[in-house]
Amino acid sequence: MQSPDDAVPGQPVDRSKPEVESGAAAVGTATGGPTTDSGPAPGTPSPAVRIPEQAGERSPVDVPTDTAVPAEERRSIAVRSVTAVFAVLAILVTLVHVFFVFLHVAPSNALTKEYQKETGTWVYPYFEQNWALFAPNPMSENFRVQAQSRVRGPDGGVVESDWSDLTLDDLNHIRGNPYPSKADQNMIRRAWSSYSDSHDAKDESAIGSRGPLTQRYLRRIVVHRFQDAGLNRSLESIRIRVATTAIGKPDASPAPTTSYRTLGWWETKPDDFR
Amino acid sequence: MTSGEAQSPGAASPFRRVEDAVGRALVGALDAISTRTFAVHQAALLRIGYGLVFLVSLLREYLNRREIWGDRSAWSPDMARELLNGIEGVSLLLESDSRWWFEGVYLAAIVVSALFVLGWHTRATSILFAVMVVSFNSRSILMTDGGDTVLLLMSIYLAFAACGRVWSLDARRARRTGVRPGTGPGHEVGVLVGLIAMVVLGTTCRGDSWAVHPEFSFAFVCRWIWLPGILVVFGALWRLPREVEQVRAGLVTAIHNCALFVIAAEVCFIYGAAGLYKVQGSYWQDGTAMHYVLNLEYFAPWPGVSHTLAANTEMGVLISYLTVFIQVGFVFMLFAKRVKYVAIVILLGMHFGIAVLLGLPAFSASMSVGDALFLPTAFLIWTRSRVIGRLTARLRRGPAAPARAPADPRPPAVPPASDGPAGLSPTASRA
Repeated sequence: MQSPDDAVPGQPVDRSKPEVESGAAAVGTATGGPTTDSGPAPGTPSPAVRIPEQAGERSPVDVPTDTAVPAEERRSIAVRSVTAVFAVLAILVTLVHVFFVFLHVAPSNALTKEYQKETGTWVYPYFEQNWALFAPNPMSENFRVQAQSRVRGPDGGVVESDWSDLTLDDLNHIRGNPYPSKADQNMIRRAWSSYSDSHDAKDESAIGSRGPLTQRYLRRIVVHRFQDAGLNRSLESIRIRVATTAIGKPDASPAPTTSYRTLGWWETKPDDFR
Repeated sequence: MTSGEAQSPGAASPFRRVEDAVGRALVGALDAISTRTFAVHQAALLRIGYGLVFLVSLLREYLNRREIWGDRSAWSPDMARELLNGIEGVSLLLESDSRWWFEGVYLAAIVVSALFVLGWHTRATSILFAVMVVSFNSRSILMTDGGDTVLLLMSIYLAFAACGRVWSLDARRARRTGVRPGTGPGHEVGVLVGLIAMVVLGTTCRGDSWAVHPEFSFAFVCRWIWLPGILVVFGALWRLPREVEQVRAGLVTAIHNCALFVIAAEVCFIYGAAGLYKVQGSYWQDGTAMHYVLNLEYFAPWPGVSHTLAANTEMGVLISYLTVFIQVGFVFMLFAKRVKYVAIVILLGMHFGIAVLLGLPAFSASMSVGDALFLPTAFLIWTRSRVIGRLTARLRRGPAAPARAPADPRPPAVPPASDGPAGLSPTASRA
């Protein structure tokens, strides 16, 4: 705080830079100090001396290349008018875009309902977004996707496997990994959430048009996991259950209960295998 | 005293004066928007940052690439097409189901993002970069998370910004040869890259196989943008008349400024929305949210640490509240200089925590790069000179020690230093 304040009047005529920027430099370094804490103790006295000359004096690398036409070059009235028209157009598009993105991000209200169709047209597919991150509430339970297989044996009999925990495989990859893979962190997690969003929890009937697609995705993931585990095309059908365990309140410690949602047996299709 | 001279203009002048002032302010603002390229350094930092985020994620997922986006994916190309049909999405990866097409596009995406980081013919590369990010997102939408969404939005916005004016190969070339962004001789390579970008854009957005909405939409614009695009790119081969060049430069500048405004607004929307949604949640209100977040198995690369921290309820309340306050208040803090930097520092700390504790480094990096837009130019320049200065010093000290003898031809490499002052007045002397 103190040192940059000293520094600015210290070298007032040094640079012809606008005041705003040198002011910003002073504040920026004030907050920059704590961030770049890596600098050892001797870093503390030096900024007052070093920053203004380093921040103010741009090395050629820091000077932006101008367009072929220098910005300060004289422009005729015609050029200025045409440019202004374009600029106004660009500003209008910008405002419309920001308006629609705002409506898209905002919770449902009178305005969003009125412009729902226009918003959808403008926003999909490239500007779709949802920032309810761990909100309104973070999930209060953990889920494990588990799967069971039915394999036709060489004698024609059907062998039913035990439940295997696919989520646990993911977790084993995630644990101790500073940069977990999407394949472990997002695949089953999002496949299950999109399935449960588009299916009735009671009778597993599809809600909306994406039901079949999400079911197929989930089935294929499980088939692929079984393939990775060594099964081949003799895998006839699979069954999924999801074990949900409540996290529980921080202080109360009743033993967390686990509930199961078991889906029906799904027959595998030839193109499920890879 | 307030006689004739004051009265006769006095009747009309207050209005006229206001009118004149408003008119002058308006004209001044429009001139400024179309002549001053705002926040060039921040735009360059965003280019480098988002380019690196995508590049690193492509390299990180290299071994899993076929499971996530490729031929071994549980989300088959047909399923992806079915989903994209409904929302008019496009993906270069869905042009062919062959494995080698996929491998080729993957390799191209790596090269493109590396070139984007370096700022090589940045405008064309930025379009290719956006196409690649969109393609990988759309191919496996159910593989994406918040970080991918941020990257997707920013890659599109950056294609409209002049993000290669500084700290780029383009800027270096301009310093050395005097060929500056614009039109005319010297831009042949840029035109070639631009044509490639337009062809790739056209291929990606062909979309003849999926439904076309009759009404106006971005997908419709995207489908045909490459046609005028090709004309514009070709036009850059010739030196335009001075006036046209001025209008072109003005348009480029105006669009750049608008794009940066949109990026800033987007960052504010993200924090604002995330904060306002949290305010509605009871766990964020009673401060137990951290406890639940830290107990989610899918976001616990270090379960031991997470559980220890989750057990500390007081700190959980503190962090929960701080998160909500900063997120909701971010927009307002931007208007107060000193508070703004405090907010950014806290946010960067939060993102660091999210990266490490929740195992979401890509998401955190994307958000942190967005925050960097609000850092002051002087701070960026100072940091760059320090970082680069140290790095080059270390590099020179490191390999130079064993290679001192062959370093004799190094002196010719030093002249760029004497080259510096000339570079300050942008290269006109050599142009």
